[in-house]
Amino acid sequence: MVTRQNKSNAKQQKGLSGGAILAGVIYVATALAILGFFWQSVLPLVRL
Amino acid sequence: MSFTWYCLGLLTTGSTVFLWHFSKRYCLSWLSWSGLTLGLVLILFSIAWSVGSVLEGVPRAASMGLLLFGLSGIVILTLAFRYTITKQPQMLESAAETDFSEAVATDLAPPKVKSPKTSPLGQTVSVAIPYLAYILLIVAFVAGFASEGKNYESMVRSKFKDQQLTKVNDDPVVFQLGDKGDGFGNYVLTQEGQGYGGPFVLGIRIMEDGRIHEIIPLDHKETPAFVKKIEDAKYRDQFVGKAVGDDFIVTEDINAVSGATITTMAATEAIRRGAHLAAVEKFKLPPTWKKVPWKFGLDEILILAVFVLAFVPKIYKEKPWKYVYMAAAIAIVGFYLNAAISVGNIAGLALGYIPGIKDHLIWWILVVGTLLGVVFLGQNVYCYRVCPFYGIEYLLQKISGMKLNPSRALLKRTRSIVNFLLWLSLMVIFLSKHPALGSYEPFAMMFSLNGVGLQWFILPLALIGSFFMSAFWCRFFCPCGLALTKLQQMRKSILNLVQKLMWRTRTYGNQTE
Repeated sequence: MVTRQNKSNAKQQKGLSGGAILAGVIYVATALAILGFFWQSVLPLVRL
Repeated sequence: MSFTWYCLGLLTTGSTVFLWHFSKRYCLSWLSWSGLTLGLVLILFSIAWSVGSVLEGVPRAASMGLLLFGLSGIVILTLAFRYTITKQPQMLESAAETDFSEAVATDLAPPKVKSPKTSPLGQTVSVAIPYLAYILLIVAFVAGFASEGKNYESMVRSKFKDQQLTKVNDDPVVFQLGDKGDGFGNYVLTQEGQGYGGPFVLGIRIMEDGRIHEIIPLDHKETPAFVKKIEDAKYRDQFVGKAVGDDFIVTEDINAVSGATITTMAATEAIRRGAHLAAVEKFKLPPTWKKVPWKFGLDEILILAVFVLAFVPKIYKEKPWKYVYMAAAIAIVGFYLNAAISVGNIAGLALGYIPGIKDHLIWWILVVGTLLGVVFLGQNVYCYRVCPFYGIEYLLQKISGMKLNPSRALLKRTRSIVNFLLWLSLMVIFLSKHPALGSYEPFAMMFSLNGVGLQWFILPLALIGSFFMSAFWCRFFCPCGLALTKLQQMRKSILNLVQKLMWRTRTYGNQTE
């Protein structure tokens, strides 16, 4: 019974991490978009 | 088109909030997450595709987009939805009511593992990197200045490819179209001005009748959003037909463009200077035009009020004044004047791009005022007070009610990323001498609905991020805030050094006595 309860708690914790994943995805996407912005601005300067 | 992007941004935000609430209610497996996200992304993509195609006049492509992406998105979303509801256990109510921020803070915290002892080489590298970064910045700054100056001739030539150009004056640089002595007039007089984000060069085409026939933008390093705004408003057209001896004063005989006031003021100043030079030196006219008065109207009073109140803790800290102040900052500094400070302003100052105080008091109050506050008082009054983007972030965070609190360790790691972004931004600005090229902040486009390229993606991401984490942009990505913090730190270090030196001098002085 105790083990089942622990498992259930663990599952709940696992479910909560969805928000963190989403925030992480947004964070990485923003960082990539900024790097893309630099790429876009520097590209005409270096004439690659 | 801009409105479409805003609607799409709203839809994206709504979908993200929906996903968040759904994940609170059900334990989502990786399959559910993938299905739901893919479905939503496909639907949003199909909307963007279709609206874009319709606006471009290609309805066929719009319908194909809806069919291919929209339909498959709806199918995937429905399947993922049904799978989640039937297969995944629903969370207990009590669990849903637990303190989210605390739980996620634990989630975001990196696992506690014993950190291996850093090697001496690793330690040296971690100490050397900041010094190397500073040295490279100095090198970039010097290299930028040492690089070739402006070539006015090639700028003018690129605009008049088929015509013969003859340089008839050096200061200011004036070209005559056709051979020298071909006839009086048809001059292109070049003038430089200082915009909000950087300098620009304009060509003023003056004919034999002493009137302006064309204003030609030759080169600019201004924030692209402002340039687009004044071009859309056909700002240059109002100069056509004006006599060189006219007043050229904004709000009197020239109209400013709302949302790009500082750029229009700077451009008008450059045109006025050029036209009056031509009036005196070429057309031998007496200077009968009005003197430019100090621009101190409602705009300047409002900005000054917002800036001064940022020094009063009761106003920017305590409720309900805090909300009133924040709303005023968003409305005035943001939407009305679009004068948020960017890293380009600070770097531009280092490059010597300083607009005149008479015409650009707003710029002086915000940029110079903020820097003086940091240098003399050690206070950064701009961030979290005057900054309109923080106000927007705060508002979004209050609407969502979500507050993910990353652990200190994670915050420390993200700090190195924003440090790198600031460094990259400064490197690009110093090497190119173009402040707008390194200013990746989405402030100008947020408040003017004008942006370029990937800025359109940075803005919605920053806004969605602030739904989940308070001051998402300010804490994780803002180069301007970090630059001001660095200045504060430098001030502190210098003061400590001076104190130490004074203490030593005093101690040794006493000993020798």
